[in-house]
Amino acid sequence: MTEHDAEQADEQATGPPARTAVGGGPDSSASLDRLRLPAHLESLPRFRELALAWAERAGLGQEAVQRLDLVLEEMLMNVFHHAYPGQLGDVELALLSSRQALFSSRQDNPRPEAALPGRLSLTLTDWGLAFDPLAPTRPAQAGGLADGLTEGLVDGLAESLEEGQAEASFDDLEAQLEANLEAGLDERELGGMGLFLLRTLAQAAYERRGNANVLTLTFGP
Amino acid sequence: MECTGCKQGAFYVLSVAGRMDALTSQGFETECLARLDAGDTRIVVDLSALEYISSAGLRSILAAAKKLKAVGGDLAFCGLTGIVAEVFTVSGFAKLLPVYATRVEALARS
Repeated sequence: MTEHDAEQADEQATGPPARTAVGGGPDSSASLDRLRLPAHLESLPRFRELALAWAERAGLGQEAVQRLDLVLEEMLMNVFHHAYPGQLGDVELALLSSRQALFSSRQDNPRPEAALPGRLSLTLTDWGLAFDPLAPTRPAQAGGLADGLTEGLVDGLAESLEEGQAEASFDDLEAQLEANLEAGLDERELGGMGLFLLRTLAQAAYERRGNANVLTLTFGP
Repeated sequence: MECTGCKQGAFYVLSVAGRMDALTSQGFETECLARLDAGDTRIVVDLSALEYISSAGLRSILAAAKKLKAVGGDLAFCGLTGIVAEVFTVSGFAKLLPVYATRVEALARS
């Protein structure tokens, strides 16, 4: 029996693992980890714990770790609330540390790895309703109203700062906010704010892959 | 998330420590409403010990601010640092709600 066969036998013996480590763990050059859990609030702490452990190993700075923490929660909450209406599905978090990315690109662009600060990529996959959180406007999506709210808030804010009319703008902003509150600040609007934070605080890429939503977040330089 | 508070002149000062996330944020609104029921409608929230806030936390703050405003009260903030200050800024909350650098400044307003 080869070593490879032995690994397969181990996997079969334990059944499909909820979490697998590939490539020998975070200290090897190829570091990948996956965690697949039910898409509900109770799963948030375990995803967070795993992501923060990897952020530490990847050597991310404090600011990047805080942004990761925030954007991960926002994107998980979005999946929890919207991906599987009326049913419970799964969401998977895959983590890829900078070492593997650097290793694969080294031959094309050789440079001293030690000079590069830590970087971590997180890929969130769900198999629910197709949804691109990076799309600029999504009138068909329930979150559209909240996006209008937050973008309107920030745009209005920028204009007021430029024109020196902060007071007038404050009333406008508050009126917009009040109007939306009156309309009901429900979970979907909360998701809208989360999408705004995603676009502001993370490097992100979205892909619809078959029947899956695949969102990749990268933190670090 | 942990809330502790005390009366200071016309204001009730509420210190929030830890994390305001999807799991904990509801407690903030609950705390503010409890103060409102106790007759405190002007609340200064000291966030200097808050390490983290997500949109769930912002939502809880908005809900509390709106209810306090409806009875002629208000909700002001001080001591924002790090990611908390960043989230307040990028969301527009720093302009929407009264935010002060220090507790002393927040208490000095009329």
